[in-house]
Amino acid sequence: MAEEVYMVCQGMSIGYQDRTTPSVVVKNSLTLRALKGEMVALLGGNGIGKSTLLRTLAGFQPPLSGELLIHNKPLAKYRAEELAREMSFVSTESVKVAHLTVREMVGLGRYPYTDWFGKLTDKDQEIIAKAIRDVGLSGYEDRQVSRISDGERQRAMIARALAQNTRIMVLDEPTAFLDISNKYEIVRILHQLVNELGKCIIFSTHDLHTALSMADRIWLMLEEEVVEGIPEVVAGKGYFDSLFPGNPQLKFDVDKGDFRFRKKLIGTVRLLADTSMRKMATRALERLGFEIVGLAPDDNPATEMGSNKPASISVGSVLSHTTPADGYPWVKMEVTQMATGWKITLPGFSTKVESLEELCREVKRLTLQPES
Amino acid sequence: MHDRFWREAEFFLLLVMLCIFFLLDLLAGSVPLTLSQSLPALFHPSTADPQIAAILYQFRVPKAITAVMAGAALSVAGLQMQTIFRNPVAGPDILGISSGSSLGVALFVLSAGWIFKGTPLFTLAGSWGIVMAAWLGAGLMMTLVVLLAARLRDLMTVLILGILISSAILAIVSVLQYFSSESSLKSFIVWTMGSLGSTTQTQLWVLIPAVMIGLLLAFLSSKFLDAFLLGENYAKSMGMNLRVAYLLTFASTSILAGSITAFCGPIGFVGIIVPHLARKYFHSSLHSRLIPGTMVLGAVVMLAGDLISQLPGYDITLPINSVTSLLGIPIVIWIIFQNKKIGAI
Amino acid sequence: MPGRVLLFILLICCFFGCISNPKNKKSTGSPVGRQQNFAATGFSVEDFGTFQKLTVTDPWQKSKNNQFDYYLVEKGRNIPDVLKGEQVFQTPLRTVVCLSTTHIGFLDALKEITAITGLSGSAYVSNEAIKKGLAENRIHEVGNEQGLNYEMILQLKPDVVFAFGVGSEIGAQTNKLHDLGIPVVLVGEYLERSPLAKAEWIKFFGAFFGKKQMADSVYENIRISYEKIRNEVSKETELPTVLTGLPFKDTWWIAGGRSNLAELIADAGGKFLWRENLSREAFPVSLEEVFVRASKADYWINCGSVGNISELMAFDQRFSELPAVKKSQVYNNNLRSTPGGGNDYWESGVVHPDLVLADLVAILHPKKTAGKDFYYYKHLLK
Repeated sequence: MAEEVYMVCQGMSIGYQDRTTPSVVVKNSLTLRALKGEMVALLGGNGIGKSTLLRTLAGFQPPLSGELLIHNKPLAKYRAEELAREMSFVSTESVKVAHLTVREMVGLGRYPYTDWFGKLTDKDQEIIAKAIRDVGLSGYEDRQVSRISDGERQRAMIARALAQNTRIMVLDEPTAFLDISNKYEIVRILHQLVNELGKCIIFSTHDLHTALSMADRIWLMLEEEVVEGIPEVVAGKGYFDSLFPGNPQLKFDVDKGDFRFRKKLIGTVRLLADTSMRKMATRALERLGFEIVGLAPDDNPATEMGSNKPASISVGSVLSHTTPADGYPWVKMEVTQMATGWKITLPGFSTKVESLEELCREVKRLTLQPES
Repeated sequence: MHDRFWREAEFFLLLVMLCIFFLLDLLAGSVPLTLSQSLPALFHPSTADPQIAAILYQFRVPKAITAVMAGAALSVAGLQMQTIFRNPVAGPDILGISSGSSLGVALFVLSAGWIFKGTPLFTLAGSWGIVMAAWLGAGLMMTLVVLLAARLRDLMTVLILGILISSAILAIVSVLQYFSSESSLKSFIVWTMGSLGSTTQTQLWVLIPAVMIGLLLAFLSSKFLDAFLLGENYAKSMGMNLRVAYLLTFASTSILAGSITAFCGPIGFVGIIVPHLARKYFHSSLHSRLIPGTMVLGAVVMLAGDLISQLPGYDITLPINSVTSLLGIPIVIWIIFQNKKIGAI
Repeated sequence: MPGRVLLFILLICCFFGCISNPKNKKSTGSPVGRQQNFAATGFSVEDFGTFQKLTVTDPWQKSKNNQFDYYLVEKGRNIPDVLKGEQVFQTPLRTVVCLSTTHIGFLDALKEITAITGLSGSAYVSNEAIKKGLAENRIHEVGNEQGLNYEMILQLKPDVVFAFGVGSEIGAQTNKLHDLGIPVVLVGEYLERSPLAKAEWIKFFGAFFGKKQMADSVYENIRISYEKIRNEVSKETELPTVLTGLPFKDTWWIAGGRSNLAELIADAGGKFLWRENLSREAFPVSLEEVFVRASKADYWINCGSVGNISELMAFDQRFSELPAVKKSQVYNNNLRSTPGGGNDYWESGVVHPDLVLADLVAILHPKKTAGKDFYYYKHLLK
């Protein structure tokens, strides 16, 4: 159904054009769609053009060529106020204004609907109140915008966009400077808006995990093109590998839904520990650059999903490659849990430590020494 | 709502202060007048002592009205500039309107004998000549700025260009001063010190409507200014027509600042400090409240400045520009320090 | 280290030594004749037989104990040894440069107009002969104050430059001229306290041209004439009140109560409205005060450079209600003004205070001087 396609661009190229300098094309021939009731996550490396795309979609800068239709009408044909009723925008900027309450700021979102003097009717006030509630800022109405936390302020900006009552919302890295809890909250709120109100929300983010687990559609911006599709397809087809071509140490783990670092190994270790400490010790040793080989007979190796290598455990951030790190002699070590701590055994040498933390320190110290 | 009551009370209080200061300003002046002399003369001019009535109606009342107009106009102009440029120390002359006026007056006063050899232009038109010259200068400057703003996309560039052009103009004025005669120079310098008391009743008939038009335009731009609080991008995304917004605010500022500078000479600092005082007093950044608030507060501040310049008790009066500068500078410094804390307008 | 400190202190001492005024008073012997000035105090002329010594005292505002000696020796005579190293002028001078148009007035009265080869402010000149000379490029403009055209002056090679100072910065100018080998004489007539004292400087100028007798007699005539006019009205009992100046913006600059204008008004049988003021310079009065006081003024004179009443009212029309305006008794001293902005009042008027006084008496006491034509003043009409 055509009415469901809220935004579509065909063969669009985006970039910057000055009267005097020749135009700088950021991306060419883009063909993308965003439908009603969809949350679209725009992913891509730094400087690849995500902001440019969003700014073009929001109407801040014109596309260099091609078509851009909002509700089947070219963007260029919209008057400013008309467009404002269809599309709202939230940017990364943290807006700091003194003497402005949350309610007043959210009230600014009613701009396209008020008269010359910006008078807010009762209906406007209701919409504002609901928007504040929807982002979970009830009780914050009279707080000063400059005095609330970054997360709260970002939510207030979203409330403003909500009050603008548009079918499409475009957000440029809305979770950029927020901690995990706030990041999650924001995305959850957006998700709710999409599901309950049928909005089409397009946002850019670096948070792959959230995007892959919550977005309905991914726009993956690569060097030469933008790949579009549902998260599983985009990930499964291996497109994510091309995301950071300049960094060979990074590999996308389809199962985990995230990137993993290829760590340099410095040796192998035989670990003997009981169930309660095994996971922590394994992770610690792997973090230090060891591959775990051999287990105590009564332990189960089923810590890796679908693994076929019973002799190794890769939990956390280690790839099971036995590539010796450059410049380091290969270390073969044994770590055994004792009643009062840990015992480290190296060829011709052994020592005891009292805690896992000390173990790490000792291992680090030992492995940096020449082979003794 | 309780809140509502306090808001209206704040405004009402300010209006009361305005009336008090207005009355006090009527009493202040080199010819000592007491309340008992002035009140009857004020309300029944025909039956009062003609000299007192003349002093009040010819000198004091026009001066007080001029102060109210100047205070209101400059403050509202300053408010608009601060919001548009998101700069806490912006003032009405940030677009160079003051310099434009200066150039107009300088050409008129200083070069009268030099460029227009043989025409004592200065005496031909007297005070109206100065007014027209100042207005013309301000108008030309505004046109220049508007044209620049239309061509350049970036507001910051417009701002910087405005400042540079101002400097260039002042350099030209310096050159004119260098080549002028002593008396012309003195006349020009006196003009730059500002004066609230030289507007006659006839001139008020022109000044008041001009200021009213400027204020009306400011009211109309109130919604734009609110959107601007969040920055140009957000304003655009909320449907604001940037072109119309700039045009309206620049036009309003030019008319307000240009008119006051034309009749009173350049008066500084009022336009910068009053918006801040208003924001603090009304605890609001929304212009629907700030514009009327700034108007009244600006009038009060200017009346206070005039009262101080009369130096009650002493024979001499200070030029108004000195008073506003002396008062204004510490307040501007305070503003700058305040902003370090909040980091906002 | 101490060596450097000592050197520094030494330099400071030298510095202070240089800027102090070395007054080497040479003993020139006692004068044979000393001219007694009638009124002027700014200069003195002493005759030593073989030479004359002219002394100018404090020729600029706020000057204290500044004295300038100029020695005059007749051409053809030997310069006495005692004058070695002093500034000596050989009289009569042939060519001069005048930095003030007032000097033209004096030279005209001495009939030495032809000596002028350069002047300052050519736009403001009233004298016809000078204007002709300027037009025919026989007389040249030399600029003024900071813009003094030293090269032009050098080219002209005048025997003297008659200069005047407003403040002590005149020192820089005179020093520069000295460096260039051009003789400078400071003229301080404008600081004299009375009109007759000002006019008496004609004797100063006369000495430079060897025209002592002529200068003395011209001055005598002026003095007698002036005093005659003054006596005519000294017995008047009904003295009209007089307002001066004009409003600009917030203030009105009123002539000082001890200024030349105030004295002229008093001598003309008028009552200056601010005669209680003790200043010699003009001072600011608020518009309101003027408005109140001037409601008692019969006459209004010396109002800037306006030519008629409408121009005057253009400055501030609130003063159209003044009785002086209503009775059409406003007079300005610019009857003899030039298109270039000059005014003969300041040129020949300085040397002819009797003519100025005559005009003022005609204004203030019309019944006594019926039918007399004005020389410097004009009646301002709509």
